[in-house]
Amino acid sequence: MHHSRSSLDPFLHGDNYGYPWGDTLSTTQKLDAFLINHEATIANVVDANPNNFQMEDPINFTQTFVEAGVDAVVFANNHQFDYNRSGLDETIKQALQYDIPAAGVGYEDEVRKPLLLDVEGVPVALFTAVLINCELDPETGKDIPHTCTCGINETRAGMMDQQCYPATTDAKGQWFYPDITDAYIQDIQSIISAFRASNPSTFVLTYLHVGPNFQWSPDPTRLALLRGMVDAGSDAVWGTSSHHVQVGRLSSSAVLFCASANPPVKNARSLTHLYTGRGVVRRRPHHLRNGRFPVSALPGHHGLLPGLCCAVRAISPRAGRDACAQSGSQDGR
Amino acid sequence: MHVLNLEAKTDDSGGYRVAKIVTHPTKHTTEQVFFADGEDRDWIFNTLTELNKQLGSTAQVLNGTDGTLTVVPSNATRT
Repeated sequence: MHHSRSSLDPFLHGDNYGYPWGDTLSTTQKLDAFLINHEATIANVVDANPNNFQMEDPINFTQTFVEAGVDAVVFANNHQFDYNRSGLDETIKQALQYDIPAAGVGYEDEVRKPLLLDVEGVPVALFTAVLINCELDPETGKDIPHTCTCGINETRAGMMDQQCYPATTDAKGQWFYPDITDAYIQDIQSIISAFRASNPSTFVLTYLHVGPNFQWSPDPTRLALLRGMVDAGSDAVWGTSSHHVQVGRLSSSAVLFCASANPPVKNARSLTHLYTGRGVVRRRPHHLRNGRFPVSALPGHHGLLPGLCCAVRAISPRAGRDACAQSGSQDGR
Repeated sequence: MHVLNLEAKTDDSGGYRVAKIVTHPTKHTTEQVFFADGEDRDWIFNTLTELNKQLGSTAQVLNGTDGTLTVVPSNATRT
């Protein structure tokens, strides 16, 4: 059933679609390219149980992307199936209605291809993949479920068994791997290295929804994955899903930003260690609530603000210097 | 929000590389996202700095006066 809504009020204050971006709006609008990971659906359904982990933004939420100058939206994450496959289809439909390119979901022959962008004359290829990565309980050796980047064995009513699904020839899904193994790393590498070989001048940005979630430091397996992406020819690796600050690594040839999530700051600071020495932090119930629009103001709808944003500013060295000189800024803003 | 500043490679390989990352730390309310400031921004700076130390200090985190944090390779200087 389609239920119409004339505006996004009360939380968008009438037709002010820039409202959710607060004082960041003037910055996002000036970027050469603004890419976001949208970890919610735009499923257009009335949620029977708005307090579970089904993420949904309002039906015309895409207009906030237009207002912010978003150039591409990534759906390679663990919330696109929150309202089943019909919710995924509706989300894609809503995302594309303003001609904002989307990446991360599709059929098998689509998801392994990069989204190609022209950023002020710089060719950018955006690969998007999803891998399940869980922290192991040091006592039992088993996965700690709430640390997994994609949930499995879901039992809550109205939800699919898994949070992530591989794309097939006849069902939309993601470029998805159920684990991090050498074979899976090599499989991803084969795609990226082949593209790199035939596109030497393209800036390759590899997005991975791989966490680790609620851990301060990536484990060696995950670092091997990230480094493998660089070895295959990625110029930058965009890690997502961690839910809190993690470190960036840079070298002269490439950058790894392990997990650049924008956490609800005060909650991230209040996270406490659950397993001393393991780097796992406990998620408190209010952690996710803090990132949602108020459920009370949105009957039947709730969602996360775009939890992670990545912007690419392509500059020539000379143009960069000129911009810095004119603005008096150190970083070319 | 993280801004990747790209520049053309100076060798013969062509293409572009990341010259630096300028982060714009944000904080969320239930309805909006804002740039972080004050102790919230300091917390992010300190956290990134400490994490970087633990992982071998491959990057420097520089605290700007304009609200941004800049991440550069550890052997680089801000230009």
